[in-house]
Amino acid sequence: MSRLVKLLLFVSVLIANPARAALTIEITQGIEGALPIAVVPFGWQGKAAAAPENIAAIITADLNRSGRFEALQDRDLVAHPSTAEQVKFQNWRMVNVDNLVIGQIKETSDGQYSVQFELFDVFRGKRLTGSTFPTGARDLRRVAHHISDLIYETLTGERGAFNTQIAYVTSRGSSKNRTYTLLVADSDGYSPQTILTSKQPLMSPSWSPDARQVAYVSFENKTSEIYIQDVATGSRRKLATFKGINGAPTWSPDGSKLALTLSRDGNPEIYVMNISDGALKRLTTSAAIDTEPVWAPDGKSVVFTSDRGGSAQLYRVSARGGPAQRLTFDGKYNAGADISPDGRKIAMVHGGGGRYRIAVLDLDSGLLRILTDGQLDESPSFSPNGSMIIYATGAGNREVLSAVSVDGRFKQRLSLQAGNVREPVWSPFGK
Amino acid sequence: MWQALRENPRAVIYAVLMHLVLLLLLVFSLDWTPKAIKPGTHKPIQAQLVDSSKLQAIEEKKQAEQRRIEDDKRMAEAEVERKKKAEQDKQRKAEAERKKKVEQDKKRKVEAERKKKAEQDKQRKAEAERKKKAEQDKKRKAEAERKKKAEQDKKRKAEAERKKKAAAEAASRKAAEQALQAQLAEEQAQARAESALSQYIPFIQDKIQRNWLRPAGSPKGLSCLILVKLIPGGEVVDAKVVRSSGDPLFDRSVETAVLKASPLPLPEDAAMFKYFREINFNFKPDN
Repeated sequence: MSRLVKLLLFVSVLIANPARAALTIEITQGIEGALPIAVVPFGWQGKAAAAPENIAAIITADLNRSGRFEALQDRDLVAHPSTAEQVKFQNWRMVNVDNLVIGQIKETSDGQYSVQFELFDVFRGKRLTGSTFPTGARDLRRVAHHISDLIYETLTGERGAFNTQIAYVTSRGSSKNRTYTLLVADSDGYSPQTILTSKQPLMSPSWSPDARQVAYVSFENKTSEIYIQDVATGSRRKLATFKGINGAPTWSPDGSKLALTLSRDGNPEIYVMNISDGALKRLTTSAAIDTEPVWAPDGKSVVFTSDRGGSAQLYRVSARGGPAQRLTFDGKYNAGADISPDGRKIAMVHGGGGRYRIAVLDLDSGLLRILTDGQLDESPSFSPNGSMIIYATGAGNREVLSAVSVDGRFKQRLSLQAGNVREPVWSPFGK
Repeated sequence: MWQALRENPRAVIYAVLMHLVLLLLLVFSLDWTPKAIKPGTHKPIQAQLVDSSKLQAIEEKKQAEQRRIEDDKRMAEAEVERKKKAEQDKQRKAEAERKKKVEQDKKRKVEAERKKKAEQDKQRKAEAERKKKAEQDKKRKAEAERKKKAEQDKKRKAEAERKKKAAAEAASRKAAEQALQAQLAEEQAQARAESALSQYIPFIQDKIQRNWLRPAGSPKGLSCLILVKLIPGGEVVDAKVVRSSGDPLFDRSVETAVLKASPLPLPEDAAMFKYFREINFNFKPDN
């Protein structure tokens, strides 16, 4: 081929196709931020002036709390559509929200409602999902959380954990007349139900894998005892009343065993107990304190806190026993572990500089990341989808319930009644 | 028959003579058969006596008479014979003459015929010759014509070829010049475009990046190529994922980023728009 022909070819290609020949732009950075979403107050058709629950507000709070969304504030809503026909996407593009949630509540009969919602992709002008749920007045909040889950799952690809529960202990009153209460509430802290009250300390609640039972430590008989209690019926069973410490029970993933701390042999050690027959297996043997066991999601190992190295650190031991392996090396104090549902992260209380904060150890990289900024943050517990961590934090001279997204970007204090909140645990998805 | 006669003239003469003899015999002996005399029909002869001397004399006289008559007769006969002969001669002569004439005629005729034929042959031959010659001439002429024409054609063709070649050379020269000019223009446009690109790409990049919300839970190492179509003014009219990251949320975030960033900042020079009509964005987070 002559040079001329080559040149001609080259030129013609350029002329015919300047854009394609020219422009490819690399995008290497984006915002590590929350998805902007608008949740329009739901339409209401009923006898009363307003709906018994503000569904949109519950959804908004759920989505915001996850850290993955940033819902438009009510005053910034540019329109109030409640049906798909009323939606003008252009309006929502102007305020730069990616997604839009609308819905309506109908009173179908006395105390019975039908809640309908729709989720839109604003920039593509597309309906992504939607559904209708019949419900009674008592379950309206639950329906709202369920809608939050559907939205969350559609937009993030992860299962939502809003329609789950948390268990926690509160204490009120003076040191002479203190009341301890074990409560179960919605994941947003609303609708708390007391499942046990005691004048003596209640500690270390733990959910069964089916989210129907809670194990805990009660001092109601002046000494530590481990109980398991059915949340719905309140019926309970005493499981461990050994000499010394009976503490920190956690349910094995298959629901058949508890890992726990017993000092019946003189020193706090980690044991595994068969729930059905009470048979014990000791996992640790050290002169130091071994406590706060948690199960890995595969049930094959247990992570616990031990000061065998001179300070409180996390260790892992096989569920069949054997030597323990140290997991944390960063800082003087790492305790109170919870393992993420995927088994790849461990949340803990990380102490240093006189402060105790929530940190997450990434087991793949070995990196420890501090998520919270409190003075006395304690008892981290992963949400069942692994996206959030609930914990207790000191606020003034009391402790409150807080949540942080796993990436640490979003922290929120949950609605709270009076009293100190201690040891929150997030329920599994349940069955 | 003529042929036979002509070939045997003696036999013919004998035949003619024989015919004549037979004719004479016929003439003189016509009635040579004895005639019966019928009694009663003739008067009986009357005998007369005549003296002998007289008789003699008479007789002599009579004989003399007889002889004279006979002589006359002979003479007449001879005459007749002569005449006849003359006639015959004449006739023969005439005949011969005629025959000769006929023969001559015939000969002449044959000769004429022959001559005519020869003439005709000659003519025919001449004609054929002429024709042949004409044909050959024609052929030769045609050949010459053809050759001439071929020659001319060849010449014309060569000329055309030459012209064509010259034209092609001119055209290619022109094309080369044009190409060169086009290339120069294109290079200038490219240079302008490049400067516009280098000036505007960061703006476009920045606007896209400000609008790209990276999904929190996405695995590392994802990348997504998206083809974006713009209209003048920078408005995004189409965004199509060309190479998916395999993660639907990541892809969706990329699409949304592009749509949210619309309109993209473009150079004001409308001529530059062609370089921005279609843009590939390769979303490839560096961590």
